[in-house]
Parts: sequence; C-alpha cells; structure tokens
Amino acid sequence: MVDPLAIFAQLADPYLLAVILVCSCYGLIIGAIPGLTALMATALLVPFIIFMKPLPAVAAIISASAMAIFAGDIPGALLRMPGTPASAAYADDAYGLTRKGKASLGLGAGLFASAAGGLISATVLSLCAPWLARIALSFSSVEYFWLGVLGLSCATFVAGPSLLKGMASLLLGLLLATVGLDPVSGMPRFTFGSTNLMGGLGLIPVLIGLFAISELLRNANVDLVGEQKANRSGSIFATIGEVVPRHKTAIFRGSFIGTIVGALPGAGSDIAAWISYAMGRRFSKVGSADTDEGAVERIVSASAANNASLGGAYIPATVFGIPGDAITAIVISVMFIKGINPGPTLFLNRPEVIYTIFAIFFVANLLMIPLGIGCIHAFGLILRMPAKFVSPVILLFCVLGAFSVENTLFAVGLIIVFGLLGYVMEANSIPLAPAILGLILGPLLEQTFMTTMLKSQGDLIAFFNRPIGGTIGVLTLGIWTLTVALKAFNSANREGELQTDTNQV
Amino acid sequence: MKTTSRIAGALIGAVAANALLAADALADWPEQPVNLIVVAGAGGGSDYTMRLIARELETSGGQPINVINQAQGGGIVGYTTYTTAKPDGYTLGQLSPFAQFKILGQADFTADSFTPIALVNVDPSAIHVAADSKLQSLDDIVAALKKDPASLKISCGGTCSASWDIPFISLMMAEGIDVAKVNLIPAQGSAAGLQELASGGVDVVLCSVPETDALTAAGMVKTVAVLADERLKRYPDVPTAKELTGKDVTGGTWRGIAGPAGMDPALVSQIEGRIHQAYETESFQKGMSDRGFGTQYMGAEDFSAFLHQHEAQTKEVMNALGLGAGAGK
Repeated sequence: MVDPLAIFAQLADPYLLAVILVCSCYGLIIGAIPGLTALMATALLVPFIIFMKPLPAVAAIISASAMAIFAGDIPGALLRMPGTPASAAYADDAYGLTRKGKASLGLGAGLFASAAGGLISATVLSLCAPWLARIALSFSSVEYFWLGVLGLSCATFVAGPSLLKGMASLLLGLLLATVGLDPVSGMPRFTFGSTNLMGGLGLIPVLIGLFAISELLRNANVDLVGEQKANRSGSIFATIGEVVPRHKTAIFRGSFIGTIVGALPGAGSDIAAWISYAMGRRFSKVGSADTDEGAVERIVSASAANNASLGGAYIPATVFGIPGDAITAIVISVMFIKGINPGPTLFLNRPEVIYTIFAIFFVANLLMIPLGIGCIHAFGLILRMPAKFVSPVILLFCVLGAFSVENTLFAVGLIIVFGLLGYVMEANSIPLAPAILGLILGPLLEQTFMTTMLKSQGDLIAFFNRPIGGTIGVLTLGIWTLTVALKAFNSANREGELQTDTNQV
Repeated sequence: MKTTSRIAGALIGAVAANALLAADALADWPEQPVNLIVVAGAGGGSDYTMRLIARELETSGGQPINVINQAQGGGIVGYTTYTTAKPDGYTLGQLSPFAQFKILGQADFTADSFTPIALVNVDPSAIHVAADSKLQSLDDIVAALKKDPASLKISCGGTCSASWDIPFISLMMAEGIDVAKVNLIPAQGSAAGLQELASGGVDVVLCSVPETDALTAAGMVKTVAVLADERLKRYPDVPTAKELTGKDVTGGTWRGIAGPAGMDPALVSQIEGRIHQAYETESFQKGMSDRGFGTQYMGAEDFSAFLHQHEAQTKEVMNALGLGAGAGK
C-alpha cells in the first residue's frame, strides 16, 4: 500500500482542487441539459486538459462525468426528460413524485444515492481493482450475451400494468436497434438508401424524442397551470436524513451492481441503472409497490448504480488499459498523453499516482452533495415559471442536444418523428421504458450472439461450455422457466379454486 | 433594435467577405473558419490525431478549425458530408482506409471522390496472441492455418475487411493459405478484441502495437510480428513479418486530410504547405509519440498514388475472401 499522507499532500494542491470544483460545476450544467451526456461533457474537456498536468487532467474528467451522470436526473425528475440515457430508467418514477409536489424527495434521494454509489465504488476500486479486473477480463462474448439476455428480462419489470404492451414496446425497441449497418457483416439494413440511416438511430435523439418531445406535445394539450403546484423546495438535507436509513439496502445493492456492471467492458452506466432498477422493483418489498416509498426505493437503487458504474469502469481501464465504457476510453487516452500509462506496472511503480486518482473519486463524490443541492434549487425555479415560457426553451435545448451529439440535421428530424411516436404510444398506454431498454441492449445482444456463432462456427453448445457463461445462461433460462411455470401453476390453481367454489355453490 | 441592426451589419459584412473570397479564391488560406470532419467518435485515436493537427493549423493560420465528429455508419456519414461539400478548402475531412465500403456495397466512394492533400500518420497492423497460448510465433500461426485454415479464431480488432486484417490476409495469401476458409471475427474495436483474447474467446488479435501496451506489461499478451517495413522505434523487440517470412507485406491504418474531389491544385498545394508545417512542429510530433502513434508524411501527389494502391490491395484481398462479389456492381 501507499502512504496516505503522500496522497493527502497531492490532493492538497489548490490548483487541483480548483480544477475539481470548476469541472464539477461544468459537469452539472452539461448533464442537466437533456441530450448532453456525461460522455459529451468528457469529450468536450479534452482540448483543455491536454495542457494540464496529469493529475488535474484526470481529476477534471472524473469530476465532470460524475456530476453529469447525477445531473441527468434533474430534468428527468422535473420535466420528465432524462438528461442522460442512464437516467431514463427511473425518469417516470421521479417525475411522478414531482407531480405530487415531492420533487425534493425524489431528487434528494437520488442525489444522496448517487454520491453514496460513487463513494462505495471508489472504495471497491481502491481495495481490489487488480483482482476485479482479472475477473472482468474473463468475460468473452458468451458471457456478455447472457448478461444481455438477463438484461432483457428486466423489461418485464418495467413493463407497467400490461405485460403484452410492455413486450410490444420492447420488441419495437429491438427492431429499431437493427436499423443501420449490420454490426458483424457490415451490410446496410432498413436504411432505404439513406446514408444517415446507415449509422442507425442514435440513442440520444430517440431518447429526446420519445421522452422530451412527446412530453412537450402532451403539455401543449393540457393546461398545466393548476397541475404543477408543489412545495418544490422542501429541505433536501431533511429528506436525506429520513430517506437514507430506510433505503440503505437499496443503496448498497445498487452500488454493488453498478460497480460490477461498470467493471465489465462493454456494459455501461445505462445498463447498470436498468438492471439495478429492475432488481429494486422485483426483489424488494418496498420497491415492488406503486407507492411514493416504492418509487424512492427504485430511484435510489438505480441512481446509486449509475454513479457506481463510473468508478467500476476504471477497474479494467487502470489495470489493463481496457476501457470499461466510452468515458474511460477517453481517460486512457489522456493518461497516455500525460505519461501515466495504465497497466499493472502503474500499480507497482507509481502507486501514489493511481491511489491519488482513486482519492479524487472520494473528493468529487463528496462535493456532489452541496453542489447538487444548489443545482436542484436552481432548476427548481423552472417549476415556478409558466409552461408557456419554459416549453420553447426546452424545445430549443432538445434540438441543440440532438444536433450536438450527432452533428447532423437528420438527428433533429429524428427527435420529431420519435416525439410523435412517443406521444402515440403513451396515448395508448404503451410504456416507453422497455423500448429504450431494447434499443440499448439490442446491439449488444446481436453482436455477442453473432460473434459467438462465428467463433464456434455455428455450434450452439458454445453458449454453455464456458464456466461463467454457462452458469449465467442456465440461471437465466432457469428464471424464465420458473416464472412461466409459476404463472401457469397459479392460474391453474385459481381455476381450480374457482371450480371448487362453483361446486360448493 | 440596435443589436438587430448590428447583427444585420455583421451579416452583410460576412456576405461581402464571402463574395470577395469567391472572386479571389487563392487568397491566403484560411481566410475563414474551416470545418474538419473526423470520421470517428470523440476521444478515439482518429479524433486525437485530427485534433492535434487542427490545433497546429489553428495556431499558424489564425482561423478556428472546427473539428466535427461524424462516426455514424463506420464513418460513411462523415465521408459523405465532406465529399459532397463545396471544394473550396473550407470543408476538409479525415481520410483513412475507405476502399472496403464500396466493395461491401455500403457506399460508392473511390479514390476519385477525394482530393487528397496530405497524409500524417501510419500505424502498422500487428499480430498478437495470448502469452500462455500454444501459438508463440508467426511460424506457429502459419503452420496451424496451413494444416487447417479454419482452426484459429482470429479477431479483426474492429470490423473485418478493414485496416488490421487486410494486410494480415495478404500475408497469409502470400504464404499460400486458403484464406477464404480463415475464421475472421469482427470486434467492437481493438479493446473488445483484446478482451476476447484475454478471456480465451479468440486465438489471435490483429491491431496496432501500442494498443496492447498494458496487457503486454501484465504478461497476458505477446506480439509476434508487426506488418511494417522495419521494426518500430518504440518496440525494438517486435520483429517484422518481413524478416520472419521474407514476404514483403505491410499495412495497417493511416490518417490523412483530404477534401471533396475537384479542388483547385493551387489551393491544394497551399493547404498542403500548411499541413506540412503543422506536421513538422515539435508539439505535433511529441503529441503523436506520447500516444504511440506513428508519424509519416506524404504530400498530395504521393498520397494520391497511395490511395490507388490501397484500393488495389483491398480489392485483391476481399476477392480472395469471397467478399468481392459486390465489387462489380
């Protein structure tokens, strides 16, 4: 281990602390704008940090991305416009609380869970990064395939009251995910000769369309003045004091799932949030209920997970130079430029550097609480303004967000098309969340399935003959069979009871 | 009101400046901001290289260079944007291996769709195996493939029929291997390919050498050969395929700057001069070597010849792989 005093000495550099503060504020603002993601916040930083010293450069990315992931919750909760894909899982729950005048409950809980998730993953990162990285590297396409299938099962938990409509939405998402170049053969599919469609339907424009534009359309039809009452700014600190003890299991579970999923290269914060959300709904008594308390339980488990996954992604990145997500891909590139080449030798030869980087995680996540509260209050003002002033501004940001991610006008067209689609779907009470899940998981499933088949030259046994992959596979199939069997058994039982009832009468 | 009229004034000024520019196309480039399209996402190697050169061009030319990332469709969207732009020198783009798009029926650019200006980077492909693999040398790989071409799982370190696998397949063709039967597996980039190698999912990964630094240091990956003319300065212990097999096959990825077809030759030579100047700066050279990117310069003429050579090699290999069927269409 390394001398903690040396780390403190490194951290006490005022320049470093100033960078963390400035980049935190910057990350909060970018993340809070719908469509501008944590990835984008990071990518935009690169031209500036190239001139910085190594530690401040990495610190800038860590603080900006952590804040951006949290800040994505704010427009999700206040306007039902998830700022980042990672916030989409629980946007509905958080928005539901806001409409009941409990915005500070949903956001405060999310804020604390985000910070806690970040801190827990930083602890895991500091204690056992090299060991976890080895496990993460033992995942091949087979394991990822089963992980994707397990992820799909989450759709049943976010499907809402009608399973049938939920499945329809999921399949729509999977279908939309096939647009573009085939990830394996490179053949164009459903592109109708359009170059723009070759790139597929970008997740961000689709997300903005389905959630934000459709909500604007709905608001245009409803008089919102009476609806958005609300004691928006209850004390957030009081909320934290109340909420945390009651939901500590959810926070721990979310942080754990987030760290693990984040550590797997190829699965990022969005998948972490969805899986954790589904676990919160399925395996927690509180979380399975459609009450405010249940919503908070689900929000904290998913918020903790998406922030924890950021730390998790640094595990394979620092140990083996394999990025856990797109943000750490940028981090690796910055580390190379700065001469801190990631790899096991970094842990051996320059432990003070790597452990200071981990320490920055703690600083950034602690800073998140006061800054986050300020940000929530600032955005809370939006709710006090009449919708007729707010809506055009939001529309402007939606257009800007879509354009800035894809750099094409086509993306702006996409948000309109998906806005209409989202409006129609919700008007027919088809949930949006499963479609997003399908869009996120579709490419992963297809790539890993095709890659596995190519490797085994068409032999399906390949999905079961690796120890970890086979276990997850059998487990997933087991859960599915059991669920179906239980359902059949229950309905048979009920029929039986009914029959006994009739017999008695 | 005042602001409005000021904006209007500025607009009129801008229009007038544009008109002047059209009248005197050969004024000193750049006289207005330049859009540089990068055909890859923000944060990757292409983005890094292009931003590095853009920074130097900005300092020397005094005009902003807007780097625009259009990675959609493997870069096809970006290529389309700048090949269909006005050839006035103010929309330029990154040019990297492109010949596979036409052969696969994905797009119809050829070398003639571009005005090549300058090439600034070449990174040779290399052949990597797991450190504990039974394959320990290029000879082992060739022997295994000669015995049964389908016996090894070979990750392309990205999409197949692209920068890393085309030169490797060329080499295998030269060795007399039935390459149509070789089991090539696409990956989502080299990191994903290396992950497969570490997890035992594939036997061989093809990608550049610096990308494996950390895994090599961890004792998990071994580089058996690099497909370059001579050994890389940074990796003096990695032999070239040429010294191992005697077959002169090289290749990999490369990055240059080009514009739409039909640019004025005088304008091209002016921009080329600027890029050459940027290439020579210490900060560009240092920025490239810090990341392990190779530097190599080609002016417009050499770059143009190189593009035709790239098309020919790609076509030959893809025909041998049985992918060339769409080539005639």
